[in-house]
Amino acid sequence: MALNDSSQVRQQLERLIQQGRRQLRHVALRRAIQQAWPALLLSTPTVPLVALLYRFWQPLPTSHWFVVAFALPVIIGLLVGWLNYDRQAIDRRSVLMQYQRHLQAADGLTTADEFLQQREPLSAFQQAAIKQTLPVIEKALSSSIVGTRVSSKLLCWRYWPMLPIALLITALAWLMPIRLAQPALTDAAMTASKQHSQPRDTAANATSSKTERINNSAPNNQDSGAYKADSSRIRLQPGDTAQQLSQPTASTNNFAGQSESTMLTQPVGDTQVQQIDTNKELASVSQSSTSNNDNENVVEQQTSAALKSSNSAQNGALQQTGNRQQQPTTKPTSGANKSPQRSQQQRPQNRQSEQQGQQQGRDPGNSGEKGQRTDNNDGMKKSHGVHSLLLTVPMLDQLLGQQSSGPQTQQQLPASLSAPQQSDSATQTRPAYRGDVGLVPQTANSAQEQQLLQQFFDRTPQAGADTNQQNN
Amino acid sequence: MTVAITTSDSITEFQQLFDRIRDEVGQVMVGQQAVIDSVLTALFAGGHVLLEGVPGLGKTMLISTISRAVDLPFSRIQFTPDMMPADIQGSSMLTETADGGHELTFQPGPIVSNLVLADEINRATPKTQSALLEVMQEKQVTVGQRTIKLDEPFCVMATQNPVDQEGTYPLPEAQLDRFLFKLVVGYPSEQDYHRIIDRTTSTSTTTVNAVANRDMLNKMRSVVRNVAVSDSAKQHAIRLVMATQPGSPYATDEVNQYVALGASPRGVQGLMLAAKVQALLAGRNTIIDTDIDIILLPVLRHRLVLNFSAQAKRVDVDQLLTNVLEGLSA
Repeated sequence: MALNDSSQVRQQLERLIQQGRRQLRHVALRRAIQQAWPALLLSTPTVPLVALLYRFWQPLPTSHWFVVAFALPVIIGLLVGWLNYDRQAIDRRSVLMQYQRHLQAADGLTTADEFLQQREPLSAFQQAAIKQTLPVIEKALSSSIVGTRVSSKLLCWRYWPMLPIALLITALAWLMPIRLAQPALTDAAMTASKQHSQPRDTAANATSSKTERINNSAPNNQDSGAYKADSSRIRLQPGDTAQQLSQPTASTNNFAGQSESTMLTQPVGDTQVQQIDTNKELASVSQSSTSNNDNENVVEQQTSAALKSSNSAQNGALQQTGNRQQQPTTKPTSGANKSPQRSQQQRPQNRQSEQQGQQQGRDPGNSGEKGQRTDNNDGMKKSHGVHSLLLTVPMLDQLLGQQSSGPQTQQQLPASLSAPQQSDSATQTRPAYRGDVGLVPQTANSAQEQQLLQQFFDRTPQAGADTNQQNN
Repeated sequence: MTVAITTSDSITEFQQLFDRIRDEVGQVMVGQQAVIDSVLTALFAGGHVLLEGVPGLGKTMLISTISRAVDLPFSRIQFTPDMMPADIQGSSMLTETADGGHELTFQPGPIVSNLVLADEINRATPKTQSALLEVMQEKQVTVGQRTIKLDEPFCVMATQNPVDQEGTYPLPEAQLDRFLFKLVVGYPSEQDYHRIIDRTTSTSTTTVNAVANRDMLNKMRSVVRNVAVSDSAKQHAIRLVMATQPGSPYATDEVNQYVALGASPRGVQGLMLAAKVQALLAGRNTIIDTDIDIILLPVLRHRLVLNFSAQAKRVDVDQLLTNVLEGLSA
């Protein structure tokens, strides 16, 4: 076979292969797009769905989520398309095999290409085999191997509903206020409202079963662990303080008169001192506005005062001796502070303020209570109390540290109403008892709160009258 | 004066010679065209043929007719259980010289020929059967210290009866592997019976003319060897053989279950040689996968050893090979 024949076949083969590669690349690209588009559509709801679930726990950084929501489907689509494109063989042999299959030319083209690639001299039969493929190559050059291999429709809109679904989920994720962490508070608030309508006897009977010792472990225990046990009673403190500070006969709405009510045996430390100061501030504020029932202003003022108390409580631990020195001034004259038993006095209570007081935690205004609290807890309790006052009527009587010299009564709380143990870590993880932050639901506290609330609301008209009598 | 022969001329000459021999044999043989073509293919490929069929199907007549058509020396060996290797290979005999002395003279056996008919080879003892091993593979005979090279073309065409197996000695795998083809001769059709009656029970006689000779056959054999083979064809043949070997990557579940011993590398050689003949008969210069598929069964059916489970279930080797081919092509 002449050399020019062999070179001619070689050139024709190269032309054919280049043509076939172009055609196959076109086919591969179309197929890749046809595979990538559905993958992109199917993946559009992914990020919004994750955002929707994420919103249950954390607020969403909008910018990040939007970027990811747009980028992820595009990335998935590109990846699927690239994998499909890369998977399709577009080498010399596959191109020639496509032409052979199209023209039904057996293995002539691939065999000729193979013989032309080899280095050894061609035998007679090999040269003859190469020469035989010339007409087949010319026929292949004038034909196309694409044909009907690719559908005319490039983009399939079968999965188009994914787009509105993704938009819907996105809207849900960003617009719906999803907060699941406040069942306890919500329940307590609702329960308090229900308890307010209950008869007073029910509350009295509930608390007569057992004397609650709020500070059953902390008076002389400086162990943080022991204090942690009492930290769960933080929410009780304002309420307790309200009870302690408020006079049993002070049934007025004047929280100042209720500031030094019956003391519950609570660990008194620096938090109490600070809280007393705060309470005084709050009481002074509330005095001016309580009479007018201007709850909102009082709440704001108490909020600022509570913030001060929380800051001061976190600055360091006060000495117990200092607390004890100040305790006598805050102790009730009845000496209930020395009593291990918790003593509660009737005091004029506002329904909302008692709830806040309970939510604030232990009130340092429970005079006479010895104990040691961590600064963090003090600050948290104050902040708890302050933030809980944002939406409720302030309870000045819970916050003021003045002890009422009026008659004091003891009420024994059932064991079920005793404040459960709460870990310090749990407390510290919740620096502020806000209305929008979920609390660890504690049935005992909520029940006790219910009891306190009931007592408060039951004694509200009577407490106001008593207070007026005391002041007079 | 030498005439350059192009490949197309060679292909044409091959096809013409093949057709002439086939037509000449067809004058005596009735039917059995596939068997005739396979025997001629093996002859041109340089291989040996094992014909299996019941008695009376013309196996012996076929080989004798081919030998007359190609004008090659033909010898027939009727194997019996008492036959010794010397009866096949030859032996030294004591002869008397002219001066009254005695000397040993080697007398070659019937195996020293071009076309050898080993009739009912399975009736001979293994010792006698082994005498054919060297001849079939090396194409030479060694007797004592004497080695006799056999002339080309050399082809052994053996026959065996699938019935009456009592008192027979099945060929060992080593010897079976030396046959290029194993052809199963079946019964003739109804029309062929008419022709058989007309030709054999009447006074008419048929003469077989020699249409080829030793040189022409050797030439065609070299043409067959020169046929080009592409890598794809090699790969196809190799994978087919490997697919018959249990435990190989290409073996099917059926092969792993029923085959005790698969085809050897001789199977690949047989596939290549036979496929080249097929390519020439189709007028092509190179082998394609179809050429290999056509001659797959005659080349590999006798190289597989089935296990007891396959024998108990009466697994057909041909069906198993067909399934292998379909599985590989899928």
